Amino acid sequence: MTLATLLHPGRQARFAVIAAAIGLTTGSFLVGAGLTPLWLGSVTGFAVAGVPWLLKWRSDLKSWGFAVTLLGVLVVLQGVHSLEHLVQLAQLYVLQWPLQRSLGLITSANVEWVHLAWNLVVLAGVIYLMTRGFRNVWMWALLVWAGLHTLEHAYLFARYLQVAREINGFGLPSFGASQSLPGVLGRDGWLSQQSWCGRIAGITTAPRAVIHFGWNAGEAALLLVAARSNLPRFSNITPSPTTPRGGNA
Amino acid sequence: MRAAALILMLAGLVTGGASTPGDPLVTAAPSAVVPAQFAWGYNASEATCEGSFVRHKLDFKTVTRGPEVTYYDSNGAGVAAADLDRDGDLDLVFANLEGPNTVAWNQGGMQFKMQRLDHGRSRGVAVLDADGNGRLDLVFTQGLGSLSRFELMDLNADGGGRFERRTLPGVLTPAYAMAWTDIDGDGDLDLATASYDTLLSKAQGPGFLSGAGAGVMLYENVDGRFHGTKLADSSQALAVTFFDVNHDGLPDLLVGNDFEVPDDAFINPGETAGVWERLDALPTITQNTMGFDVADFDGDGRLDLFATDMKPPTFTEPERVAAWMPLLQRGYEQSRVSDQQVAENVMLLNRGDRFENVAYARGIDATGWSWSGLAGDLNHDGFQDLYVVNGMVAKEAFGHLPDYALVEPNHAFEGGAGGFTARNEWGLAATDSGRGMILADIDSDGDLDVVINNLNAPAVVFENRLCHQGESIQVTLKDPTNANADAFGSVVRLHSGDRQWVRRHDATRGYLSGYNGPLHVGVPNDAAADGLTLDVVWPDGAISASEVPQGANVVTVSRAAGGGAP
Repeated sequence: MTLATLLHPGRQARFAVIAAAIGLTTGSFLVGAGLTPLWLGSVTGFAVAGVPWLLKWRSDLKSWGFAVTLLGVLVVLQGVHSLEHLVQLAQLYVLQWPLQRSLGLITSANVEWVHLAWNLVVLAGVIYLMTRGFRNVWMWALLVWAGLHTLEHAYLFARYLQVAREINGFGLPSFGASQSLPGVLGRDGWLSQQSWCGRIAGITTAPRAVIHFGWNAGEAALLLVAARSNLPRFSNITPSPTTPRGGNA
Repeated sequence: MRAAALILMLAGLVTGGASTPGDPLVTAAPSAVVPAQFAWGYNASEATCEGSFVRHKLDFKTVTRGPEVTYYDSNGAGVAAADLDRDGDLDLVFANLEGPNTVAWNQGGMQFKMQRLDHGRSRGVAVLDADGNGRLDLVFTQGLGSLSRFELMDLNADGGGRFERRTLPGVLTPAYAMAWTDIDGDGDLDLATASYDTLLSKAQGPGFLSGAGAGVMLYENVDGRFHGTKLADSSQALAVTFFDVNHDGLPDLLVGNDFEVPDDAFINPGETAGVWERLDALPTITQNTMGFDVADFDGDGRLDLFATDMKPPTFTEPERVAAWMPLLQRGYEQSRVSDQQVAENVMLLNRGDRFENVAYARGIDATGWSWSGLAGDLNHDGFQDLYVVNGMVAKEAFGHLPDYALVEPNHAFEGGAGGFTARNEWGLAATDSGRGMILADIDSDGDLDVVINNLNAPAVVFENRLCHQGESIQVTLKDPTNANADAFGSVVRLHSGDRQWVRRHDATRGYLSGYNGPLHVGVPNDAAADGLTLDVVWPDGAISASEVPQGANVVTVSRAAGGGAP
């Protein structure tokens, strides 16, 4: 088992290309024609493009078991999630959109819910993989990274709920800006406002969008490295429905 | 007044050259040496050391119309400090909205005798001799009208003064903010004004724009008459100042606009008949500019700029963040990362050929709904400290808060080599909704006190009782050879070895506030021991210089006839 095998759509390759094209076209049409908001058009496009991947992962599940398949799913979806953040940076810095519009693709549905939920999924997946034998220094690094990232989102989510409650107390409607507040790291973040902490380039100065692209790009990179360093242990396993579930190497 | 013994130690006619030429301070003109009399003295008054400021409430309050504060009464008014009665201590002049403008005559010991003037509905205030006749004027901006000028004719036996209303010939346009300096080096005071059009619009309806008056005006003083040139047809100015934005050594005009209207910089052409052209020269500027202060924050001898704006001082406390949410939402909907304007304080350090905004890096970007923000060495350690007053009351903006008031403490920062440190322990964290503010030595003990004109709350003086880390030198400038007798626009530079402390003499500072008193320079003890030299760069670029006699801490520098810029 190699990283390339894990990430290649295999027999679904041609279908994957076609589905991606259809998904992109469909999503673009829906959004461009004003039929759906950006997040719904994006979800529709991803749903179409994701069908061959679902077929591949169903096949992987039979061949390699749940743990290896989960690893593949996490790597691909975290890559897509990082792409989401890259799109947000492009919206901010290339397209020069206002902050309110620069929310990536799916994220515009709800910033804090989407990101906390996804980070919890990744963290749980990493923990599961480690219980199934995927343990080396890269997995531990990934666990720490994903844990800290989830903590940051937990802080953001908790503060979002607190601010929303205060706003309700004032008798005001909800504000989109309450989902764009700084977190622990970054410009105006919790760390930057601690008297014992000076300004640390990037860590307490980068805008929220850059900080979270960094979190996710780092997480995607660690997932790749962790996958690459763990998968060779499955190289002597012949793909078959009888492969031990979880790849208890 | 605190017992202050002023002992003249030395008075000399200095004709020597500047000791450290080469660094352009304010003028592009070749520096000429002019004679001046440096009357050095020693103020023996001891400043009290208690580690904090002590609050004194004054019998004055800026009041608004009606039971509810609305736009733009919410913007409050300014305060000025000057020695009106020439008794050696600084008196105060408060602008008011619904109540009368008031002079607080300084009786010493933090006691003031209040004189209510028959005049109000004012915004900014400055004290200066506008026509060079030797008598000080109180000049108010009215917001809805042009400037009002009251000349101090003489002093009453009971301690007050007799003021007579005078015109400023040629000054007719509505003005909210003003700045005075000698822009052309001809020896008299010129004037710049700018209007706050939204205030005019609210009062007069949208049709006001079709009439004359709104916008940015530059008035050149020609033989006592002001010749106006309109630089901009409209403005939303809360502040104007003269500041060299293109590094050519000449004072340009900087107009600080509210409501996301970009600030305007008009470049001094350097010649009388030249045209003041707009130049977009600053890399970053405040989005809703409230006030300006020009000072050398990093001790490199170049003048930097501090501008105030609105930004929550914390994002970690949900209830405080929620109070700001309507305003944050506006920025969220409109702001782009590439915007030149940012909704936070800006400190532009002058790097010689460019400016760099270091406000966030130095931790002074967020001070609440900020109005006046001023630099001054409050603890005599040789570094500029910073004080910013804030607060907002307006039904339109904060209808969701009790009494429509955003209540947040003022912010004091101690300057240092590495930046600024918040100093809540200094006792300056008042929550009285301050607007105009000035730093001045009210008790004549050699350190800077703080005077604040609050909105719908008594004005206060915070008496400086910090434990100082050095001494101070206070420099009074006089130019009896010119109509600009108080030498506004001059720059003083005190230096010792490779260290220097630069101050500019501005008639208006911060938000709607004025100052006409000695320039205060804090000097650390080791620098004082090393020997000091004082340079004065007069508005025409001419320079006078003198060594500082050992132990001297006050000086009056009087320009003598002769010499001058070529």
